[in-house]
Amino acid sequence: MSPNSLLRSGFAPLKTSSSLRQVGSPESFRGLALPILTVASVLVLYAPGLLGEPQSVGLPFERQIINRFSLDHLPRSISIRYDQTTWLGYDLEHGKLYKAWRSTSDREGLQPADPKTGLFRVKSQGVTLFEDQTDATWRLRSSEKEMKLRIRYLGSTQREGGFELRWELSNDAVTVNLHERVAGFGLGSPREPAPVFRELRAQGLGSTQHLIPPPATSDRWTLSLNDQICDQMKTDQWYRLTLRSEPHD
Amino acid sequence: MIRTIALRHSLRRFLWLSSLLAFAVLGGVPPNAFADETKPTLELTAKTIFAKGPNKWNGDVLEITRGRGANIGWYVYAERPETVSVWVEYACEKPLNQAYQLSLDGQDLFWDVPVTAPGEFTKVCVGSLSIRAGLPVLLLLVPPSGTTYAHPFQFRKLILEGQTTGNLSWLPELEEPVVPDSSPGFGQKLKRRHPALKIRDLRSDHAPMRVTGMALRDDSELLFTTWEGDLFAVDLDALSPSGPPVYRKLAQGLSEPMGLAIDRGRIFVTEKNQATELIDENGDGRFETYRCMSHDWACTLDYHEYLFGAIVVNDYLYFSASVGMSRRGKDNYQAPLRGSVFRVHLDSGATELVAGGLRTPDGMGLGPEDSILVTDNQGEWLAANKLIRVQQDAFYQFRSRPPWHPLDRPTPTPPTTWLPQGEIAASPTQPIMIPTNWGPYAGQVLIGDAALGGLQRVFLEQIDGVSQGAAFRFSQGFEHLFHRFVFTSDGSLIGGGIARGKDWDFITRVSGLMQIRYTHQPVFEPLAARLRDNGLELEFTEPLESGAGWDPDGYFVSQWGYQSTQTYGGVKVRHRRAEVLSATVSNDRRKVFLEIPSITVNEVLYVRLPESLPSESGRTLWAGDLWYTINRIPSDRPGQVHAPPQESWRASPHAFEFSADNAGRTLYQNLCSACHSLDGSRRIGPSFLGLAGAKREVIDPRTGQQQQVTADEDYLRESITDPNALLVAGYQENQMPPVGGILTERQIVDLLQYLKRVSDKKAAQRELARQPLVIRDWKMDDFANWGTHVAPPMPEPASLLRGQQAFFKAQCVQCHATSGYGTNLAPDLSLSVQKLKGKDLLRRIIEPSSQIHPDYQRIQFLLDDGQVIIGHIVADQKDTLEVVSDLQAPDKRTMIRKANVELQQKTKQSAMPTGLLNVLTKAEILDLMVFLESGMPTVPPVSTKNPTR
Repeated sequence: MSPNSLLRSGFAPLKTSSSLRQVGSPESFRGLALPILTVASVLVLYAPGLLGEPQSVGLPFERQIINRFSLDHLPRSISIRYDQTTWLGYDLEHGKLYKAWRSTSDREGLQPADPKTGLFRVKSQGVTLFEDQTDATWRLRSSEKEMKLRIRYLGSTQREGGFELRWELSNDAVTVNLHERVAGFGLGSPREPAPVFRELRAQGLGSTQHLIPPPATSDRWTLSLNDQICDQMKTDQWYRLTLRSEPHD
Repeated sequence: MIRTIALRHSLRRFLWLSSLLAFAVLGGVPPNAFADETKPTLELTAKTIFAKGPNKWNGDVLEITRGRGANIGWYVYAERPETVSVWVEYACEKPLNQAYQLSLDGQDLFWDVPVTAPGEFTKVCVGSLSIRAGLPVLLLLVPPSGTTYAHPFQFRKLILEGQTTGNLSWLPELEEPVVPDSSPGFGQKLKRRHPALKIRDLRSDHAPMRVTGMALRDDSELLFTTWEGDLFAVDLDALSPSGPPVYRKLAQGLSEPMGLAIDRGRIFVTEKNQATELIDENGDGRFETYRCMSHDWACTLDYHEYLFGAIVVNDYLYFSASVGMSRRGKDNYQAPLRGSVFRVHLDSGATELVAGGLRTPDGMGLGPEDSILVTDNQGEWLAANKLIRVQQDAFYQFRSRPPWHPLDRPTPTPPTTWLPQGEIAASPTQPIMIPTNWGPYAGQVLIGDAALGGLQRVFLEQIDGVSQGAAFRFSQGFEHLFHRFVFTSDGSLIGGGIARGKDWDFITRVSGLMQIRYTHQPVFEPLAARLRDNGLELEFTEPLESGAGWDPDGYFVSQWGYQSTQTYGGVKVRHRRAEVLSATVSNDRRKVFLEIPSITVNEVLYVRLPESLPSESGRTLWAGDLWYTINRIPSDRPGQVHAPPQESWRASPHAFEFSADNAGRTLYQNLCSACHSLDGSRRIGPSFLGLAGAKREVIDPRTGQQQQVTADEDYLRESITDPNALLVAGYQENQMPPVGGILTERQIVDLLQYLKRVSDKKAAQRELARQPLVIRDWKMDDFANWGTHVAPPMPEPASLLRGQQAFFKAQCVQCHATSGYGTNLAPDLSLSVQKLKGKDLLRRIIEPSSQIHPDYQRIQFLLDDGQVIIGHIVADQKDTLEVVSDLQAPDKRTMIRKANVELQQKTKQSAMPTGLLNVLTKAEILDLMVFLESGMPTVPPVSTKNPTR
């Protein structure tokens, strides 16, 4: 796969000048604007005098928002701060969401797995909204026949307004590029009590081929296209997965 | 002094036998004395193994419950080669969770031990192995790695069953050769920076950057990753004359990157679990996309599963995958394909397996002809550290348990160069080829080390297409522990440090960057070593002095092989002194050919040069050790032997000294000093000061019970052979490697003797004074901004404690008393510091002759025989004077007859040595000044476990 193929996306490139502007929705940003600008101004004024101090401006993959350390039992995973209290944890090897959870008021949603042995593994902490620890993953339906797919993680992109993950799903007959994006994520104020949702797109499906989500996803998330509920992905349009029910523990 | 009695021009086999005779424990016993002349079998009993470790005897049976520390092996000799069946007589009533390893002469078998009926011994055939003739070969039975069993494996004997009556014999343990006394660069690691290197510290004071990957994006822009997951850039053309450079953070959120490569502007990072390309989509300097190029290998949550590298060659990214460590001693599981070298196509992400059998290959570099060089760290299945020129489909021996690596094979591929543990390496990092503008070293390889520190140098050559070469000491004297390197276009070496806490030279190691320039200053040292059909040719950087170098007794040479085991470490095999039949100096006197008839394939040849070897220039030898790994002996490159010229020198009879303490001291320096101080300070392990005979509070980790023991010989021995048996209260389990597993009984005795001696405070201080470490040759200009006072009104106790420690470390206490310690050979500092503070006080230390206390001026005596003696008068008798010239050796007195004194006058040279502060860091000097200015108070002990500085 060419690296350029990774760049195909509906997102605009990230243009912000501070990583803090990536966090949260525009509404949530307003309350933080003044203190952030003040701090930023001070930093800009004094930065040239701090020789040796690393300078960085508005970089993607701020670890408080996008954490690429191993999560819980998954060596290959990414944790995304969906909003101030909600986290999404991905199982990259199976191309799917592993867990959605909400942090408790007293502790962050991501904690070092074992502070004694290092900070490079994290564990989810809080109330579980969704969890799928199975090995089940995406399946392809073609001419009424279901087929298994090999999963290959291709990478991720952080742009203004969204974070995107990409996988290649393939078997001997087909190669599908699966894109998943989480919009408006970040550290901003808690969102309105609205359902958690993600968006997905499959490219490369044949006219008679359908992509079936992992069973746990179908059980707990509602798949829709243009507000029409469906159970499979058939076109290369952006579908939406919306979490259906409340926390189960 | 022990002199070798050489039998010159003897046959190679005769040398072997005479060597064995000399080194056999039961000296004088011929090698076949332990054969049964009536049978084709050979019985090897449990009672004749090398070491039982923590296991116990029950009659003639060894009850094995713990693998670490046990060395269940024998030397076997065959008159003619044959295939032997190996039988074991044993009892094992409970199943083991992992196989025993059986190794004979480098061939490995695995034996899943069948359970036996209660109370019954049985005899089973483990397998068949071939045995070479004509030299001692090692047979090892190795218990499962690090595992402790509640029910013992009861071992009685091992039986080799051949076909030829009387062919096999057992040799008693071969005693290791006595090695010459060591000093820095000659048996010990260097203590100073190479004279031809100039350094510039590029560290940021604001961010401790643990450098894990480095690459140049163009001639002037250096990019590097940090363990914390950031990618930084620094413009090398814009470095300010003073102060740290400006670092720009380009990316963040990487997952433990351990390698960085740049190819045609594209940036590749090896993260913990994937190879990643960083893509800046719109050219704004930020990387929005982290493209996963490949993750086509298994991984677990193990902390130690890293991807080390990386290098791009012909559109492929090369890197290696280290093995896990967290299940060592448990089930020893490894995820499939761990320990491999992979290559990934830059565009397609297609992943290919290149080689296997690596352990912690924390360094990858480009070698000759675009080859891939990898270093690997000693441990399980690595008897020593390695430099490997990677070959396609090679297997380098690390294995754990089934399922085996797909490239696993009974006879592994040997390393290009062994880097013996504790001698020339301890945790080798990136190898890098030296460019053409580094004078005579061009084309050689530099290697960093994250434990030993410094830079090591390797010369590589090929014989019949097989790579091998020699490792040399090159430089120490850096605060950084170098992890990654790049050479810039102007020949500067940029080293990236990775701090690991305190190492064995009492330096607080640092991370971050350092620039190292080669100044072309001539240095006299061994440059290269090339194997010949009949010996080893040494090349020097400068000609030897005319007539020097011809005496074969002026070279100490030893040799050994390695047997790796599934327990930590491994053993040196057939470690013996090699005879140098002759030494021939080339016409240009830059080369010396050492005729060594015993050179053997798959062995290391160690050469020690004497410090006194003279060069034409008059420069003294910088370092005198080299280790040559023999993978192939040439057949068409004979070394030329010539008779020495008339005017040739014999080596000084003191070319090598063999003192009683040396073996123990060297073992301490090489194996213990990283973690155990001699000055009472706490490191990873407890100090050895005051250890022998002391009462110790210890905890049995199996029961959690605390008890008090006396640190007698039995306790000390167990601490070496089974470090986890009893833990000193406050120290963790598994912190100490099982060094007992790689020590012979004689070495353990040597080490115990040394430990007992340095338990005494004065002896320990003398040991510390033997090899002061030079961090920097401090000048007053280095403290230009210091004022008239340094200490704050209320100094912190921790600062005072550190200052007191610096006081001892700089050996002030040798002459100045404080807090109940020290002598009074020099002024009372409590009075001095009332008048002198800050810069003035510092000047008296750095430039001691700038002003001398009148009571302490030294006297210069000119004697009537022309001799000049300078020193202090410490005893003034009627007819004689006793003078101490070196205040650091106050016991060394010179007696002067007053009648022989022709002239006596005060000198302008202070008795106080210069450079005393050179063993301290700047921070330590500050602490020392705080301590002095504060009147050298008695400092109460405070915890130094987690210093907050």
